[in-house]
Amino acid sequence: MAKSVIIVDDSKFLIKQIAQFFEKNLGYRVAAAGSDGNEAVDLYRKHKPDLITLDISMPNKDGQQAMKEIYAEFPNANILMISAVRGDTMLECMKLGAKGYIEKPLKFTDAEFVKDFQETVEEIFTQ
Amino acid sequence: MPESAANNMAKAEQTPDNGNGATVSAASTEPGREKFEAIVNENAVLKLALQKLNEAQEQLIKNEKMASIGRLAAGIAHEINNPVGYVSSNCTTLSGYVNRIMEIIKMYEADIPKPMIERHAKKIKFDFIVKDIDKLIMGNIEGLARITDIVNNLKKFARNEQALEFTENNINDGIRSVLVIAKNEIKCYADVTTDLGDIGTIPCNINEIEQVILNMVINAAQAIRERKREKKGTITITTKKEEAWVYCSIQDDGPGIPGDIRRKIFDPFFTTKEVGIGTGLGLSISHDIIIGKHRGEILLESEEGKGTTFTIKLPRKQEAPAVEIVPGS
Repeated sequence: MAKSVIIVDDSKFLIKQIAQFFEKNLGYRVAAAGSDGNEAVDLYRKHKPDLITLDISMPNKDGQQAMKEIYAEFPNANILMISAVRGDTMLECMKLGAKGYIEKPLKFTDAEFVKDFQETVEEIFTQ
Repeated sequence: MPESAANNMAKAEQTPDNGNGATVSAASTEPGREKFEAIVNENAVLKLALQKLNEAQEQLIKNEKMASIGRLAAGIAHEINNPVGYVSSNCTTLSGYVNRIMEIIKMYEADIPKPMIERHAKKIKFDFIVKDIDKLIMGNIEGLARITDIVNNLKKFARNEQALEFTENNINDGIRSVLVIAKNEIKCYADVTTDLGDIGTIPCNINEIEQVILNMVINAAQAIRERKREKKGTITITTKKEEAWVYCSIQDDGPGIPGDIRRKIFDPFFTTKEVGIGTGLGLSISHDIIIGKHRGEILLESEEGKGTTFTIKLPRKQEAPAVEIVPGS
């Protein structure tokens, strides 16, 4: 059965792109999509997906906080960060337990980027 | 009256019997003494005039040199700007690389699982970064060396010393300096080839010799430019030595100098260049420096449509400077 994913990003445009990528390139089923941290936590509780992607800078509740709350309830959650934020914030998220990190901008036309994205997702389940 | 002339007069008066007998006997009678004093006086006036003339010539040479630096300034700025540009761009890249490397180090420090660190290292192309850092740093070292070279040569060229005495110099060094300074002025129109022989040192004022060479190299580039060909021209600089002389030839494949002009090119203020491009003093001053001050020669070969060769010929040994004639001695 296809793995399920929830995509959370404050850009509708990017949600669409990421969803398309998961469906077409990775064969995932997109269970739901949200646009802030609150929705991320709610949707995770509801769907308990195989994977959730989180943007970091989002309104209401940022991705870092949402990650903390998800891990508090579901220590085995698989969280993939997709963000333009780098440096210490990225490191903090990794310390919190994020399983992977994709750097924005998303260059879906760049073969190298696509390969890295795929491998990052695959490694989450082989680690 | 300048002090030195007054001293000389005093000296002449105190030691009237130092000179030849005729002068002494003439000076001993009243009319003879008057004549002697008149000559001494005249001599002092002439000496003063000569001194002023020398000073004016020094000033003229200096002015012309500064003017040529002024004309080259924009080109020199460009030559410096070029390496400054890539050095600063390299630094920006390096700063980004340092941030990336710090990320990896911090990940290790935070005990992030190794596969994630490896994934990140792959993502940021860590292996490439490590190789590229080397390249960028080497590029910077090279760029900074180029800037230093240009600035040092410019400083050397513009130094404001009135070295009246000659020192031992290898004029090949001067040629190299000139080519650094004039690079931008030449490179669009001509390639420079050099064939610098083992010429050793000669006694000269290298600063002034550099000025002459710069002048001739710029002339060559401007001559080539006048031909307006599609292909670049060639400037060939050759040095060699013979028993008593050192030769430096500057050859261009420009349009050549028309026969009726050849006689005039060393005249002060003679120029065929547009107003604001040439002062008409370059070759005149070169003539003064090479022939007047260094007792050398400037040889000119030119064929219309073929090009021009200026050859500077400098003595490898300077005779002892002419003894100053002190009246009464």
